[in-house]
Amino acid sequence: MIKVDNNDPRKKTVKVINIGLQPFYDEIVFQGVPALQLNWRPPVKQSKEVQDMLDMFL
Amino acid sequence: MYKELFIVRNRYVDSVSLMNVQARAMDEGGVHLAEVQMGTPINIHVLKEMGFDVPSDAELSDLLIGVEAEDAAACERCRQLIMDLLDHKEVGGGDETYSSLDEIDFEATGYNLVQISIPGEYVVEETKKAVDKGCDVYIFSADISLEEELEIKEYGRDHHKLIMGPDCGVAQLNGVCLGAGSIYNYGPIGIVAASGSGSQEVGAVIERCGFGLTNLIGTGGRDLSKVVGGTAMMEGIKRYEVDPETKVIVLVSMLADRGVMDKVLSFADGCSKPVVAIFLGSDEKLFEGHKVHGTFSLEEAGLKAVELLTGKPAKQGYSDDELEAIAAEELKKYAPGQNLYRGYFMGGTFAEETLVYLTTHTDGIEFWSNRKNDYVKKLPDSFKSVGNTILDLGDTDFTTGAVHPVFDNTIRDRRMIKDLEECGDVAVVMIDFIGGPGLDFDPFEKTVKAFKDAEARTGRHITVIANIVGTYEDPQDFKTYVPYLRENGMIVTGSNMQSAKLARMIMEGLKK
Repeated sequence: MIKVDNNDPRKKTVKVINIGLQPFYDEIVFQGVPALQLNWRPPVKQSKEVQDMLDMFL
Repeated sequence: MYKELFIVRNRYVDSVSLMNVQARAMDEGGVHLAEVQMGTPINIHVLKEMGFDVPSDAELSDLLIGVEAEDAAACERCRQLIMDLLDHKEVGGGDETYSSLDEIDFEATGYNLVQISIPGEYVVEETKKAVDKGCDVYIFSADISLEEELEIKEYGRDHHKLIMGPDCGVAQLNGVCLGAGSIYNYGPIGIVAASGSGSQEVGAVIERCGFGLTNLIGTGGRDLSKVVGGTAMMEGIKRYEVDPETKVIVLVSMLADRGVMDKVLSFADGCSKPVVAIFLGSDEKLFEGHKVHGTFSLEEAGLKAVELLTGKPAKQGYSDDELEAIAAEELKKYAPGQNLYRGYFMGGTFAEETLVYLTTHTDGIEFWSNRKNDYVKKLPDSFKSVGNTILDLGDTDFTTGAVHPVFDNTIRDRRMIKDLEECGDVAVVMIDFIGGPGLDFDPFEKTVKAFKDAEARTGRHITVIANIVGTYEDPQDFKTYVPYLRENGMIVTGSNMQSAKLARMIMEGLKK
């Protein structure tokens, strides 16, 4: 495995949130950069009737 | 043997993550088979064919986990492992998990960059949220409309935040490489690019000349379209203009809307720093009346940037005379009737650069491609090569619902070997190896083995010309593997243009 310069001072200015592909999160961590993998899921889609009712009450 | 199908309702997981999780699950003791797929009709059909009992109400949004193991306990352990991997419990996410940007205190935590690779329909909302939280945004996702792309780019511009993408494959910001990008040395040249693989090539050439990058700002491939109007490219230029560390700016794009290219060049003319541009496939007229230095290959763009920096002409890789000598040697090795060319590119820009060059620099040779443009004939079926074929394997023909070959080079290798075994008249093959920490870590030995097998089966010599697009900091260990490839008969050039020139020389020689 090739070395990665995790001490590059510029990297200390970057903190990453990853939404989606796990390998992109792994890639950031591999570079020694602070990162957070968001446990993102698509919003649940309501039918129009249910959404209209929710809109009325909320 | 015990076989069980688990279903996780309304759980989206991308195809690359599924591939990795599945590979890890297969290593679990007692597990013979693990199939982890979203509930598409094709996947449901395949799982049923494998003997799994898939519920009739399984839907596209459901995650399906099929496990065959020695007993029920092993099945359950495998399922649990897969769910833990998907929930990131094992990969250092810390004790806290968040499911939305709204749950995070950005002031306290200091997060300042959001990377997005989710289905296109959710991208606008998440991007605007990230900008509102004070972050620059890198968007790998595609599948959003041009109007939406303009909307988020203008939103970012108005909030003084960079929007890199959508459909941005490569970027580097403050030394951190994003997406499918390489790890570049720090240096005084800044790239703004609407072409991922193109910008990687320019960066790699600059690095081989001994220099490096301040940043590589990706814009996504459609930034110079009429609708989007170069919004992100001009924002990138602005950033470099005020950055004291950036001494030379390079703009990279494939051919785009003529009016927009002209507008971007006029904008760049206002810079106090030298600007180099490669708009692949453009003519010299485009640059007439502009201060910007026009170039016509990716390699030339990198070399020109170095020349403007140092005041001296730059060079790297093979000279034309050296390429002529290599071609002459190769021409001695073919069997009668071997006269065809095939290009298998993971980087779309390399396919484009090659087809523009080969079609404009050869006479009487017909080329086919899955890419649509004025230079070549369109393949009737992207999955079947014809004559001299140039394939862009990163095109949506191949990547819709599937893994991009940069993440798994065997996808490219399988297609190539199938072609070579079907047609014994192929003499020259061009390929690319692309580096970066997000990509296939170990692409070389698999490809060498695939070629050796193909040569053995066809009993013919095939010239393989490889372009390495990466840096010595990339985890693919190019320093070790370039000699390895050469020892195994591949010709490793210094750029895609050098590869294309060598292929042309051989093709011209085969006509005689």
